Amino acid sequence: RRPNHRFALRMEAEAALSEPVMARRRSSSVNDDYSVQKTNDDASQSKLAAVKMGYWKDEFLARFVSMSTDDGQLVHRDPEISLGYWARVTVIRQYVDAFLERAGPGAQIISIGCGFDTLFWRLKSEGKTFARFVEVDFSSVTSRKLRVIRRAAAALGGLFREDAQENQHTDLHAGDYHLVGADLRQWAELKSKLEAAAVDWTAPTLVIAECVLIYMATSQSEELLSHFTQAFGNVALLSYEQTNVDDDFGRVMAANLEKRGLKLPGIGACESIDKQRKRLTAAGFTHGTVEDMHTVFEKRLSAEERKKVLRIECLDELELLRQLNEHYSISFAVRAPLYYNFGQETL
Amino acid sequence: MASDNGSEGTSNTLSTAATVRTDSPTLGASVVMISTDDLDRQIETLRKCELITEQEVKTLCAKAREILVQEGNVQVIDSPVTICGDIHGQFYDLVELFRVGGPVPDTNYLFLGDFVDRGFYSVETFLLLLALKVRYPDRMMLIRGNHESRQITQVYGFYDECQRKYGSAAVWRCCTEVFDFLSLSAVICGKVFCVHGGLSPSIQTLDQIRTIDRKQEVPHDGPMCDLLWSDPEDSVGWGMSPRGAGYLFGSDVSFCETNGVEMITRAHQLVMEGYKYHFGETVLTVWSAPNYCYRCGNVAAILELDEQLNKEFTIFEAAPQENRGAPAKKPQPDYFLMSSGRFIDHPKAEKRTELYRMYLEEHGVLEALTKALAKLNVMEERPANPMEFVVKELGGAVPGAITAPALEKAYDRAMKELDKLRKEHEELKKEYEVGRK
Repeated sequence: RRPNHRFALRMEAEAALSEPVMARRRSSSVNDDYSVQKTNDDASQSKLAAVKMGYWKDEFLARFVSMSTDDGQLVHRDPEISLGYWARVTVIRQYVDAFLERAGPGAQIISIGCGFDTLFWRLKSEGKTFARFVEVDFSSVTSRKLRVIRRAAAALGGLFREDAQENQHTDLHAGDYHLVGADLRQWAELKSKLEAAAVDWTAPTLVIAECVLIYMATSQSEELLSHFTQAFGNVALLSYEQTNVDDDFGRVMAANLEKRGLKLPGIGACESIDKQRKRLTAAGFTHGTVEDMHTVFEKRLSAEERKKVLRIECLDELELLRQLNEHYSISFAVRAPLYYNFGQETL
Repeated sequence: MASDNGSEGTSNTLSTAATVRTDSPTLGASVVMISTDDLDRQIETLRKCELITEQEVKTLCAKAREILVQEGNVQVIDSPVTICGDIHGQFYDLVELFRVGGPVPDTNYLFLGDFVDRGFYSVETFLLLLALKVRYPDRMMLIRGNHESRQITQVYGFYDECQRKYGSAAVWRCCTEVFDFLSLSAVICGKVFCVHGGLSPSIQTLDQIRTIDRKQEVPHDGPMCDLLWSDPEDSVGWGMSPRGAGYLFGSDVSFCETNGVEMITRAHQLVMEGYKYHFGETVLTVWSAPNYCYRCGNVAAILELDEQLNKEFTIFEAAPQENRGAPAKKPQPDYFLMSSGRFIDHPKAEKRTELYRMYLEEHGVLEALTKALAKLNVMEERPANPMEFVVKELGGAVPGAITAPALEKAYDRAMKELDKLRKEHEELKKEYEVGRK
């Protein structure tokens, strides 16, 4: 009940405030969460635009996202954006597949800040099995996702192991799929929601954080990650986010986003690959790799696939893709001891 | 600055009726008239980043074609001249460029192509350059870039922008027809060869460039394509280009020696520092779009050649935020998973409404109301009291709410309980009576 009550209070408070006061308050409160929640829309539309152009297959995403923008135009992104999203989706999938293979049917995946991600359905439709897949996001996002799932009962609900049970319009439990609304910065709330999802604290667990940690303060993300390493006996983290931001590109990015009312409180941890490693070790992870997406794009993904996607639209300036990719990273970190060994180097 | 076309715009009406050979298929034998007053007015409008009418665009493009058709594939240009690289629709940065480089016609300019795409003001940018070209044909030289193409402009924004700003593809069609007439290259004082992209394995001499039939869409391969797509690369010989068109050319390519030029000046590649030399100082890349895509954080450069061909670079940054026009005009640069931020631009009232709508939606209020009203709509026989019906429906939507059916149930239970108690009471009374006897 609490999140709803808070939201109602916010509504009243907003209505009561005069405009100059609103403008001054912008930096600290309600608008940040709202704009963070809105980033889901942007990413989902970008992914759908890429899917429509043939960069990768996702038969489920169109159920969650509209192909038109507010002014009725069809969503399209510049080729370097679609290529970057292709690299991101592909490398995440690579790590998830490797994890599932090692961890076996008892595997557990927790996707934090999931937005309208469709990974669960993509995995199930390809015959993969696991103990449970838990998606977590703000309840304003999970409630919207829930409504889509409810409406597409056959296409989406059909892949659940059990019938879906809804809770308070924000949570859904369906055996191997769970969707819960929680604020990641409140561990007590998150923990209780994970318990409601029947999470097994000893099962081999992969936490996926796709562009999530940067939206909370570094201290908060460290705390969250520490909770994960302490609460779970066998845990790995897969995190995609910005890196190397201490340059002109990073400064321009921060300024551009600030103009939209979007702050990046966790940007300090993204200054360099080294700093990201430090956050991981501080949180209790012992082994892993942190790589920038340019290296991933050039060296870790299938050369054949890469050639294919580069041909879909001719990218007029390769430097643009390289610059973007060099400022994003993928981290895979595990906490030893684990009974499955990824052969990761020490962090 | 000498050029093939000898006329200056000094008379009231710009017409080249006496000297023009209109080989253009669309114009036939007619001559397009625009008065200098009209032209100046259009330039003033465009300078404020405002649009001229579609009809004005058509006339301007027709006039531009008349002028461009007389230019050769290798335009002969005199110094002094200021060379500029890609602009890519970054109108306010073009204004900045004119501020640091000097206004037309005081300064002679050579733009190396890529006027459109990616930036948010491709239309205003290209039309301003075109209007300046028509007004001062000997002071403003434009050559073609790989983005001056029908295919590319449909991917990178110019086509969409024309649709958005004019409501149809007519202006885009006019402009792409002008693109076909743009020259492919230039030579300054016989010493500096200028082209958008680079060299071609099929071209060894300037004469070979002159034989190309340029009045067409940029081909997918061949010499004309290579000139607009190739890149210098730190190696030797020719290589496959990762761009999928044109080639990579190395330091040993002998174009300069063969043609008696000292330097090749080109654009086409993003350079963070604004300009960059390759192969010693044989090849130079000039890039004139600062903070490219509003995201790259690079600086821009222009190259001024004086009468003696001495070089002076001017570096400039993106125009400051205050000078960039109303926020309503522009969308935001893309990153991976970032806020669309559109809510920020809405006036206060719209945002409050949006928040309110979301609040209702999240709590299922809109859905419940819609369901109830939809149910009522499809009923064969509608109830006499629709309000009661709707309230009942809504009551059912909230678990644990006090509703008529809920009350009825509670009442039934209470009555049953009462019955039970009555019976019990009767039995106990009987027992007591019996016990008393």
